[in-house]
Amino acid sequence: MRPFILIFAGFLLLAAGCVQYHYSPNFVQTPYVVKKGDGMVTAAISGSPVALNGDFHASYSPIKYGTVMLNYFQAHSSFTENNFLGGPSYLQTTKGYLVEGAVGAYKPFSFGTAALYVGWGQGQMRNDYGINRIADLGLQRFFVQPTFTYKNDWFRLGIGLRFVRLNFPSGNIDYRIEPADVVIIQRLEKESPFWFPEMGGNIGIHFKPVTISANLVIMATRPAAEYSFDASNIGVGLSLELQELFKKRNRNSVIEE
Amino acid sequence: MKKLAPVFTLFALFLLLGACKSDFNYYYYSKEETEVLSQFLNLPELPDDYTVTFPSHLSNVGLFPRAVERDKAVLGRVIFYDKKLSKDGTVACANCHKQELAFSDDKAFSDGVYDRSTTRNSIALGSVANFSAYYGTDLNGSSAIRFFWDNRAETAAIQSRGSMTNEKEMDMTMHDIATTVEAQPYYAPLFKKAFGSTTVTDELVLEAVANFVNAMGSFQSDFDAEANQSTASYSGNFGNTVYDNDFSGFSAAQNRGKKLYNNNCASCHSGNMGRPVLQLANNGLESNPTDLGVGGITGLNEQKGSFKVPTLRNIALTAPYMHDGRFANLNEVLDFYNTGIQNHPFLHADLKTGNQPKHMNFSESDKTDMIAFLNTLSDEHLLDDKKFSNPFKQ
Ligand code: HEC
Ligand code: HEC
Repeated sequence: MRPFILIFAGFLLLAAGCVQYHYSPNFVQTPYVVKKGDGMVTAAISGSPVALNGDFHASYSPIKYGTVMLNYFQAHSSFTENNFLGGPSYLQTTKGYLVEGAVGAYKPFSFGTAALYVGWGQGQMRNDYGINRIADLGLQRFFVQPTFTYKNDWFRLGIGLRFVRLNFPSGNIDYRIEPADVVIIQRLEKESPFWFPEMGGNIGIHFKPVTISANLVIMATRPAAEYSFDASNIGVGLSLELQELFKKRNRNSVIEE
Repeated sequence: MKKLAPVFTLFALFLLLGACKSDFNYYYYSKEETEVLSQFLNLPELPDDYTVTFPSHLSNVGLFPRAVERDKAVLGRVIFYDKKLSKDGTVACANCHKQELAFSDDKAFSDGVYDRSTTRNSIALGSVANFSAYYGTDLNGSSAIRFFWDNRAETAAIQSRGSMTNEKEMDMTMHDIATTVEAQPYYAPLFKKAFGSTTVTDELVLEAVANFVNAMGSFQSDFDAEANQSTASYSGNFGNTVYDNDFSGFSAAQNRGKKLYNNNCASCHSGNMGRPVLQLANNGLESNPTDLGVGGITGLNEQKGSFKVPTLRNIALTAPYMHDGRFANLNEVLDFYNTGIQNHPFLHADLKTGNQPKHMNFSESDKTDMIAFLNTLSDEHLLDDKKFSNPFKQ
């Protein structure tokens, strides 16, 4: 049974990679800030055998109970579609980015925080279907994200539920792409904006001031095939907690508390 | 917490902004391409859809159309109407295959280059999609339907080569065709769309025409509408599905005509108008034929005087009839099947009684009924479907 499941999972990964997509969820970021002056930066990569995404995150607490965060997400995948009917095989690529900012309010506990973030961002997804047939979609995303974090000296756990409003405000689409893909894009145009939840988080080991983490994000309910959405991402991240890096300066704020 | 209030307000504003009307732009030709094309052609900004969909009564018995690639069909449409691709610059495919006649010609013999005349009657292309259809895996198998009255072409591409190089039709060499195509500025963008490059080869020209011709189907006839709602009462060999029960939407005359057709004609021309049951047959036009038909190609004695069994879709629109256009109207065709069948050693058994040609004994009202039925096989949509029309600016 076990090998069967593994093979099946492998297939899923491959299958997920072999589809062009118009949206891919970035990781749900969970800032480990517990007091004014705390901050962190994270870089993570995620992907599948054919995709490689980059996730960059920075967060900082400028005021008591308040956080700002900035996320940048870069999606990239490429594969050669095998034409089983004997026609030509095309190299197909997906490139995209999403840049977003958010503000949050958090309540610190002895073990971590409960927080609520509200954010907005925009970006672009550009699919090249081969021989320069390109569909370029602009996207805007609004989100509300309740978050829980747990941290101790050596361990980090963050979970967030991201309620997303995803809008496709614009597109430039080469009509020569496969008619089926045009249908999908027209569906996005017509049904946008979409509201859906995404769940994600990370679990990490902390060596002051660095955290090495495993990250996961899954979008709920959106049938990927109907909309060409990438439903999940999984990957590893590296974080730096700024208050630990610049310890001295932060002493003050601790006393302030 | 209060400090955050303005920030939340800002996000609410963004949310509203995000709801603005979307701006999607679908493009096909670039500006430069449009400039070149619009000098010569009236093509829609976005290409037409050439997908062929069979009516359910045909797909239900496992009959499927050949896949058509839209961008190649668009290119094929221009080639089909381009008179430059003939030796004297006056003849295009469309000269002999006229849209208003379901892509047939109203002359027994069509005019080719230099007023040369063809030796056979132009075949209606209005249902090539039927001929190129296949059962299941039988794509190019021996029972796939072939092209031309003498079945000499296996595919629409091979057939097109025949038409282009026939000295009575367009009289070009394939090399001439490729160089002529290359010399017309409007082909470069179309080739780019269809094949990803502007390189013209004779194979690609043929592939494009074949895609256009393979997209021609006539499936919106009254017959199809009725058959879609009926269950076939008999399904014989080769998928010859026959509808013995009366169609509820047909008149009494049309239903009587259908019954006569099923009893006398369906064994060759097929009962569901899917594809002819037989590839070829000798239907007794001559006891001593001069045009040997299929036998003239294969040299087989038993095929001398045998011809392709044509589809009867759009038959009311495609007079004159038979390979030499000898019959001016359907009445004459029925008179022939009624009393005019000639004996021949290889006259098909279905047209014989014992050793003698069959006399079908249709009365005058039988003939009227049959013509009423044959009229239900026409699909008038095809005749003014813009995507099959002449794209050239006059
Ligand atoms: C000069 C008149 C003429 C021109 C031009 C012409 N055709 Fe034809 N076409 C005919 C005739 C006549 C036949 C039947 C010939 C035969 O069977 O021997 C025919 C047969 C066909 C058939 C076979 C249909 C079937 O069901 O078997 C196809 C397909 C066809 N033509 C397509 C074309 C295309 C595509 C072109 C242009 C490249 C073209 N024709 C140009 C006269 C013409
Ligand atoms: C044995 C098979 C067979 C039977 C039965 C048969 N046909 Fe035909 N039919 C043919 C063949 C073969 C041709 C083409 C002959 C030719 O052109 O040389 C043809 C041609 C025709 C054509 C001319 C088509 C065109 O595009 O020019 C019509 C109309 C027609 N048949 C109607 C009928 C009707 C109506 C019946 C029944 C009364 C019937 N056929 C019975 C084999 C058959």
